[in-house]
Amino acid sequence: MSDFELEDFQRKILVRPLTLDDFDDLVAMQVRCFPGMLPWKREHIESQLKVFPEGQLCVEIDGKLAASSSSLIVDFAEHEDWHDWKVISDNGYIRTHADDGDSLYGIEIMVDPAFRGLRLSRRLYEARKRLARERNLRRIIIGGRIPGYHEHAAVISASEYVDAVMRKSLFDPVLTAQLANGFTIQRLIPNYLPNDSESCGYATFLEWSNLEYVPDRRRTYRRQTLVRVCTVQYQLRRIESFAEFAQQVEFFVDVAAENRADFVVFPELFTSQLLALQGVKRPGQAQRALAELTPKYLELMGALAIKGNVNVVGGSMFTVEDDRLYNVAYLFRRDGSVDRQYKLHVTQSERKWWGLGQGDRLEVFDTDRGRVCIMLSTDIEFPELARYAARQRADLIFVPFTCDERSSLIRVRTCALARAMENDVYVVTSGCVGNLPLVENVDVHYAQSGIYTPSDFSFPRDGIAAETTPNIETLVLCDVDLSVLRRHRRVGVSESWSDQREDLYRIEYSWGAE
Amino acid sequence: MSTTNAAPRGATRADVAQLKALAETGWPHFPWDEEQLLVHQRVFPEGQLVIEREGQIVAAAMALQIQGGRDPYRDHTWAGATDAGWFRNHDPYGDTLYLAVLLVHPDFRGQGLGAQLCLALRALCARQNLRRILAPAHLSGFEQRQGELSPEEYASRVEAGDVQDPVLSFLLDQEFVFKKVLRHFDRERAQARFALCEWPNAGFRSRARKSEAIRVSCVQYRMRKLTDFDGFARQVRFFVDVAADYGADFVIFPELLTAQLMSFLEVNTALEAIRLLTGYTEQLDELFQELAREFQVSIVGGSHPIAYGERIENVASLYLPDGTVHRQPKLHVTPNEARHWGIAGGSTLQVFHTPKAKVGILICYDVEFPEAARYLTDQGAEVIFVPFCTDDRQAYLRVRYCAQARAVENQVYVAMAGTVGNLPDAQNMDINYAQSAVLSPSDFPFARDGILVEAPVNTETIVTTDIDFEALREAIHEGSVRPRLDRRPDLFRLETVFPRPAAQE
Repeated sequence: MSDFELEDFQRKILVRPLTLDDFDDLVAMQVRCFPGMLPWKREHIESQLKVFPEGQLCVEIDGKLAASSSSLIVDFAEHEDWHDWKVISDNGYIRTHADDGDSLYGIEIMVDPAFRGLRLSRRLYEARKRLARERNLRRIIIGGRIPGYHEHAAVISASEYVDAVMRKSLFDPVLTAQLANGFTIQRLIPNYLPNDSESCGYATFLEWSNLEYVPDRRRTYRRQTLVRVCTVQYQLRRIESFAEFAQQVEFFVDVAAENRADFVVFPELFTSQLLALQGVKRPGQAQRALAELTPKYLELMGALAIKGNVNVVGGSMFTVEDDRLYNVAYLFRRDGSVDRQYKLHVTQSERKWWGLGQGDRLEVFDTDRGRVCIMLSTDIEFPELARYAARQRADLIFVPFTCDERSSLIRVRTCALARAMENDVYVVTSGCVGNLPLVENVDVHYAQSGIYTPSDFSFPRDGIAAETTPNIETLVLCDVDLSVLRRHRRVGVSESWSDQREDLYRIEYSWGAE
Repeated sequence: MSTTNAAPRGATRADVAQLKALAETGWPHFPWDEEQLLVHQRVFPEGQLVIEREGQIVAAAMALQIQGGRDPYRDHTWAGATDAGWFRNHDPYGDTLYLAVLLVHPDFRGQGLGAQLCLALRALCARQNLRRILAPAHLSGFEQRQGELSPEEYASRVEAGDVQDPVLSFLLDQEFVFKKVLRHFDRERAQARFALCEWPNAGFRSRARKSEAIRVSCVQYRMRKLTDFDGFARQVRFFVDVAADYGADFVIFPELLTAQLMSFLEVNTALEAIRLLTGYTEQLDELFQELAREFQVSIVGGSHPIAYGERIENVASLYLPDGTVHRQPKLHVTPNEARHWGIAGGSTLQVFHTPKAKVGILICYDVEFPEAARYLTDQGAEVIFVPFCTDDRQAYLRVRYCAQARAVENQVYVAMAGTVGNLPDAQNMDINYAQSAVLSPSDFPFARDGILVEAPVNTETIVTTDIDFEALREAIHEGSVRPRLDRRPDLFRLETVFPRPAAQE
C-alpha cells in the first residue's frame, strides 16, 4: 500500500458540448475571466444552443467547468466588415448563423483562471478545427485582443507590436497562443473594443484555413461589379423660366442621387422644353436660339452631377459651331469632367427643317463605372456603331431618344435590344413624354424607356432588366453587373461577339478601328 | 500625246476628289461636297458617269431617277429636284431620268465629250425603260439680253437657231426639246433663268403594274418520332400541301429539319448521326424538288447537313418550282454544333433572284450578326428567310430580337421558322423552343410593332401572311427614317470577301 492514492493524481478532462445546465457555472466562470464585463444572460445561451449546438463547447475537469468556446457559421462573402462583433454575432444570440455558410466564426473563448497553464484553449481550438473539417468549412475566423500591447504602446505602433509577437521577440498572452494554434493574422482592426485599454482598442483578425476543404462546385463566389443605372422618362411640361427647367431636372437627379445611382440618363433634346422661353417661331432659327442657352445648360448639368455625385448622361442639346447647328449629347461625370457625342445620323426632316449638321466619329468614354458610349436616337439603328463600341470594350450604351409615335419607338427599342444581344453590352434608353402644343417646333412624343441586357441564363427574363410604363413621367432604377457581362463575353452559351467571321467581313471606320 | 477617247464609265470612290474639282468649273453656286458625291454613287451608281483623259477626269454627268407624275414639267427648284444635291430622293421606280448636272472641263470643250455623255444617258434611259430625261439648263446667254427679251423669247430664239446659248444650244443638238423656263430654280439667285429640257424616250413601253405582294408561310415544325424516311416525306408534304392551299409563294421550314431522321437511325454518337444524315441529301433534294414542282411553290427546305468531302456544313436549300436548287450554308456555327457534330461554317452568302422576290437566307445564329443581313440587303434582298432551331426561351429571344432589328435597320422583311417538340432518341438534338413569325420594318405602312404574323409558342402550326414590296419601297424612299439612304458610308463601310454570285438577273 503506497502512501498516496493514485486517484489523487488522476484528473478527468472532457471536451463536450455545452448544455443549458452549465449556465450557472458558465456565468460564474465568465465573471472570473472578464471581471467588469456583463456576463451572458440565460436567453443568450438558450439561443446559442438552439441555433447551433455543435458550436458551443466546453472543457470539464473533474466534473467542473474549466473552459468554454462559442462559435457560429457564416458566409464569408456576405460580410464585408469583420470588425463589428455585435453585428456578426447578433449581440451574442447568433441568429445570424448560416448553416450552409463556409466559415466558422469564433465569438468567444475563455479559460477559468484556476485552470490556466493547461493549454485547455488548444483543446477547444482543436475541437473547432475538427468541426470545420467535419462540416467541410473553408476557414475559421476569430477576432483577437492583444492585451500585452499597452506595455509597449508608448514605444511602438500596434502593427510593430504584432510583428514582434509573430517573430516571437515579444509575448502576448492571447495572440501568442492563437498563433501557436495555427492562426494567421489577416488584418489589424483599430477601435474594436474602444474600452479595452490593455489592447489600446486594437484587435486582430485571424484566420485558420482548412486544408482539407473541398470546394462545392455549385457554390462559387464570383466577382460582382454592380452599376446602378437610373433612366428618366422626362415629361415636357410648359415652363416660364430657365429656373423651372432647372428645378425639374434637379428633381430627377436628386431621386437618382438618393438611390445612389451611378448613372442618370436624360432623353434626347429634352431641352426643347426651353423653346417656350425663346419665342422664336421659324424652324431652324428656333433651334439656333435655343443653342444660345447651351452654356447655362452645361453649367446646370455639370453642377448637378457633382452635387448628386452621379454621372449624368445629360440628354442632348442644340449647339452651334462654326455657324452649323448640331445635336450634341453630353456626359457629365461625377468628378466634374465633361465629354460630348455629336449625333451621327441626322434624319431627313432634321436636315430639312433645322439644317442640322452631323458629327463624324463615335466616342467611347471611360468612367468610374465602366466604359460607355452614347448613341442618340437613330444612331442606335445602325449596328455598325454598336459593333465599334463593343470592339472598344464598352460595357454600357446610353440611348437618349425622342420618338414621335409608336412605330418610331419600336424601331429604337427593337434595335436597342438587338444591340445588347449582338454585342454583349447593356443598353439604356431614355425618352421624352408629354406634348407642348402651345410651343412651336416641338413634336408629339411617345416613349418607353428601358434597361436592356443580353439574353442568357445569367440575365433577366427576356433581356429586359427594367422598363417604364409607356408615356408617363417616371423613372426606373436598376443594378446591372459588369462582371457578369464580362464573364459572359468569355464563356457565354453562344459567343456572338467572338464568333464573328472576320475572314468574311469587316467594318472599316473612317476614324480607324483599333 | 494619246488620242484614244476613253468612253464614259461609272464614277467610283477614287474619282470623288477630281469630280469635286471639276464641279467647281460648272455652275459655281451649287457646291458639291465629297460626301454628296459618295451618296450619289450609293443611291444610283448607274447615273454617275465620268470621262477620263490621261488619268484626269474631264467630263461628268450626275443623274438620278424621279417620278414624273401627272405634271413632269412642273416648276421646281434645284434643292427640291436634287434633295439639295444629295440625291436621296432618287426613286428606283421612278419613270424619269433627271440630269442634275453635266460638266465638261473648259479645256476639253468642243471635243464631243458632252455628246458622248448624253449618248450614254439616253442609252441608260432606254435600258431602264424610262419615259424621259429631264435636264435643267442655265441660260447663261440670257443675262446680256435681259430687259430686251423675256426668257421665253430668248429660249425660242435659241430653239430657232437665231441665237447660240452655250448650254441650251448644246442640249437641243442632243435631241432634247425645250419645255419651259424655270424661274426659281436657283432660289438664292432670283435673276438666273433655267430652261427645262426633255429628251422623250420614244422606245418607252408602258409597264403593267404587277402585283407587288407575295405570300409567305412559315412552318413551325414538330419533331415527331419516325420509323423511316417515308414518314418524314409525308409530314413535309402535309405542310407544303397546306401552304399551297393558302396560295403561298414561299414555304419556309426550320433549321436542321432532317434531325428528325435521327429518331430512327441506330447510332451511338452525335458525330456518327450527322454523318449518316448527310447520306440523305439526294433523297431530300428529290422530295423537295418534286413538291415544289407539284404545288408550284418555292420552298426553303429547312436546313440539312451536307458533306463536302470530310467537311460538313449546315446548309439551307431553296427549291424553286422550275426545279432550280439554290444553297445557302450557315456561316456562323455555334460552339455546340462545332463540338458535337463537327459542323464547319460555310463562306458564301448570296441573294437569290427568284421570279417572285429577291431573297436571302440566314440560318439561325447568322441572323445575330448584323453584317450578314446588311450585305444581303445591300445586294438587293427584299426578304430574308431565317430557318432556326433554338433550345430555350433565352436562345430563341436572341434570334427573335436580332431578326426584328434586321427588319428595322435594313428595311427588309424577315420570315423565321423554328422547330418544336422533342426527340429524346436523337443525338445532341436538344429540346426545342420556337415562336415562328414574319417581321417587317416599323413604320406607317407596316403591321403593328413590325409583326405581320406570329405563331403561338411551341405548338405545331403554320403561319401565313402577305408581304408587300411596294410598302417596302415606300418606306425606303419616303419613310419617317430612311436607314438605307441616311447611312454614313463616309464613317463606316462593310468590307466583305463573299464570292460574288455568277450572272444573276
